[in-house]
Amino acid sequence: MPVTLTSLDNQEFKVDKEVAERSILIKNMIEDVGESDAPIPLPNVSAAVLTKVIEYCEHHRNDPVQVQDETDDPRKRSNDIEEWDMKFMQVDQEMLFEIILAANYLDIKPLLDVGCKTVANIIKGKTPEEIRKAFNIVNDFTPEEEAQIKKENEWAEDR
Amino acid sequence: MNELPTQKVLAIPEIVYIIVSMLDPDSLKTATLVCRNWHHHCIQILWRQLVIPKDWFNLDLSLLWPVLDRRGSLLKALALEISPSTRMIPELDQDLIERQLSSILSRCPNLERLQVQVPREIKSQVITLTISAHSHKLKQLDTDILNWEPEDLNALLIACPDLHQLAGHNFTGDILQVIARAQPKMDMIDCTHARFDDEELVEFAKALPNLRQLSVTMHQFLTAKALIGVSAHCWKLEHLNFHFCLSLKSSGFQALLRVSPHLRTLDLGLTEVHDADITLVAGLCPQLESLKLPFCSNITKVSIGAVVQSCPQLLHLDLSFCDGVLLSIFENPTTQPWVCHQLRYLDISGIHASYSVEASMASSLLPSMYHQISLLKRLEFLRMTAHGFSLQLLEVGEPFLKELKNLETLDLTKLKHPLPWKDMVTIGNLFPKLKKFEFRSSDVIPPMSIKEQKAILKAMEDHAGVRPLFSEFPGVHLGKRKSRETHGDDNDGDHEESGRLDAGNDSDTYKENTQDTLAAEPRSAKRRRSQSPPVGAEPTTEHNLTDPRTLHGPVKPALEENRGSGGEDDSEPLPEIMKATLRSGLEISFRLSGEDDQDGEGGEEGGWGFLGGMPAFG
Repeated sequence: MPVTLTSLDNQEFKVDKEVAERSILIKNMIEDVGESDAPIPLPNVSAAVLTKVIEYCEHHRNDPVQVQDETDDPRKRSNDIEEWDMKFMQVDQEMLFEIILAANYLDIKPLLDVGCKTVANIIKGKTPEEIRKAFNIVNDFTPEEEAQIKKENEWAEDR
Repeated sequence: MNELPTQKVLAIPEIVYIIVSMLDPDSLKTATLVCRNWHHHCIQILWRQLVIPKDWFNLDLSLLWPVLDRRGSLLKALALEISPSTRMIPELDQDLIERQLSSILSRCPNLERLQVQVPREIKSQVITLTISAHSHKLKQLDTDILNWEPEDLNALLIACPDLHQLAGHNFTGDILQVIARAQPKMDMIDCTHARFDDEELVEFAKALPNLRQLSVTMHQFLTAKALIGVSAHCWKLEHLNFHFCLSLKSSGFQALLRVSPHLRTLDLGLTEVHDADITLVAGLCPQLESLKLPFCSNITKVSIGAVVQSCPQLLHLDLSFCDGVLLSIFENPTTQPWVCHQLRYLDISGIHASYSVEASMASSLLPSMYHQISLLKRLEFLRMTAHGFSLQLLEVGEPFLKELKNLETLDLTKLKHPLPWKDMVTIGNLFPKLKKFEFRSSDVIPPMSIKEQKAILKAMEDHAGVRPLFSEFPGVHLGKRKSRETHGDDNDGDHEESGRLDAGNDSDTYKENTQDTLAAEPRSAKRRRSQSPPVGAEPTTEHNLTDPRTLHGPVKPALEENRGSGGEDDSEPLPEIMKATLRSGLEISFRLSGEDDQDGEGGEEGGWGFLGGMPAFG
C-alpha cells in the first residue's frame, strides 16, 4: 500500500509503505493514525531533499533492521561506507547537511550515520584551521588553551 | 536570513558527537583543537581509554597527574603494561607498586575495565586492596596475578559489586568457589593455566547458570566429564574457549554445544575436536561469529564446509595448520557457495593442497580458492603463510584478489617459492586499503640491477592506470645498521630529499604525487600502543631508532651522480634494505641479506575486551 508524503514546499510523493517506514518518525505516525489515505505532512523537509531521502530508502528497503550492539566499539571507522552510499553522498556540502538534518528529523539512523561518516571523511586529513574554514566555525580558544590541549593529546591513546 | 544547514547541523550536540565518534584517532585529536564545543565532544571519546606502557609502576608520571586530574573521570578503560623482563624480576618494591597504582586509580573514579600486568612474584593483596579502594564501578578485570589468595578476591568482589567479567591465571577450585559465592552474577570467566579439577568446574557452573563466556585454556587435565557437567547448568553460553586443553573429547564438546544455541565465538585451537563436533555447530549455532581451530588435525572439509555454508554471521575463521583441511574446502563457488559474506578475517596458513603432494593438483584447485575468496568482499585480514604449494598469486590470483577492496592486512610469510620484488609490489598494489603486508626478506627475490628497478617503475605505471607511488624510488635507501644509531635526526630530512631520484621527465608531477601520499598517510607504520603515550624520552626519536621501516640511512652518492647521465651500471651494488610505497600509502621493505630482525617487533595486538582474546601473558 502506498503512502503519500507532503514536503515543505507542498509537493506530494507517493511511496511504498515499507519504503516510508525506513523513517521511524513516519512508521510511528502510521501506527498512531492507523490505516488512512491522508497525506503525511513533513514540514521540515524540502522536495529536493525528500527526493534524495526517498532514493536512499528505496535502495535500502530490504535492509535488515539495525540492532544496536552495546558491546561494539563506539569508535567506528569512518571509511566503512558501502559503495552505493558513497556515490549517493556525492553531493554539495549544503545538500549533505540538509540530508543529515532530514535523517535526524525523520529518524533514519543508518542514513544519519552515513551522513556523519561522510562529514568525518571530509574532516580527515584537515588541519583545525581548515576544518573551521570548511564549516564556518569560529576559533574560541586562547593560545594557552590550545597549547594545553596539544600537551594533553600527547597522552591520549594513539591507536 | 535562515541559518545554513551546516550551522543547523553543527548546533545539534548529538550529531556533532556522532560525527566525531566516526573519526580515526589522529583526526580526533585534530578535531579537539577546532573549538570549545568540538573539544567537549572529542575528549569524551579520546579519553575513554588509556594505556600506560611498560613499565607502568616504574615510570615517572608526574606530567600525567595534572592531565588525569582533568580527564581521569572520563576514563572507562585502562591498561597498565609491563615488559616480559619486568615480569620475571625476583625482588620487587611492593610499596612502590601499590603507591603508583593508587595514584592512577584514585584519579579514574569511573573506570569500568582494567587490564593490569604485574610481576610474577607479586602478592594478590597488593593489587586487589588498591582496586577495592578506588574502582567501585569496575565491571571487567583482566590481570596476570599468579599467586591468588582466595580472601583477596573475595574482598575485591565485595568492593566492586559490578565486577562481572574476570580474566586471570592459575585459578584454583578455591578461587572458583569464592567467585560463585561472592558474585553469582559473574557472566564471564577466563582462566589461563587453570588449576581446578572437573568437579570444581561443574560446581562453579551450577552456581552460575547465567554464564555467557567460559574460557579455560592450557589446562591439560580438564576432561569431557567437566564439559558434560557444565552443560547441565549453563545454557546461555555465547563464548567458549578451550584452547590447548588436550584431554577434552568429542563427548564433552558435543554436550556443551547442544545447549549453546546462542554461541557467537568458539576457540578450540590445539584440541582433539572432530568433524562431528563442528558439524553440530554449523547446524545449531546460526549466530556464530568467530571460529578458531588452529592446529586441529582431525578437522576436515566436511565440517568446515558445513560452517561456511550455514553460518551467515561468521566474521572470523582460523583454519591455520589444520592438517586435515585441504584446498578442496574451496569448492566451485557456483555449486558450493559460502554464505559467510560478512567474513572479515580468514587464516588458511599451512593447509595442504591435497593428500598427494602433486603440485599440479594444487594448480587445479587454486582458481576455485581465489574465486571463493574474492566473493568475501568485506575481508580485511587474509593470512596465507607456510603453504607447501605455490600460491600463484599473480598468475591465478590477481583478477580475484583485486576484488578485496577492503583488505587491510595480508600475510604471505614463508612462501613456497620466493617472489621477485616487483611482483611483491604488484601484489601489494592490488589492495587500495592495505595497512599491513607481511612477508620475510627471504620470500623476496631482489631485483638484479638498477635497470630492473626502472622496469618496476614502468610496471607500476602500467598497472590499472594507477600512478606509481614509490616514495623513495629508485634511490632506495641504504640502511646500514651501524649508521642509523649514529645518524642524527636533524639530518634525516636532507637525506630524504637527496634519496629520491627523478623518475623520467615528469619528475615534478611525480614528486607532487609522492608528497601527497606522504601527507595523507602516517609516515611511520602504525605506532604500537605500547609506544604511546610519550614517557621519558622523546617518543618520535625513539620510534625512529627502533623501527627499521622509518630509518633513513645515508644515501649512496653514486646513485645521485648517475641520475640523468643515462648510465645504468648493472654492477651497481644494491642497498641493504629496499623499500617501496604502495598505492595505499603503506611502505614495505625487505633486507637483501634475506635475514630479518627478530627483535623489537614482538608483542600481540591484544585489544580491549575479552571477546577478542587476551594478550598472551608470559
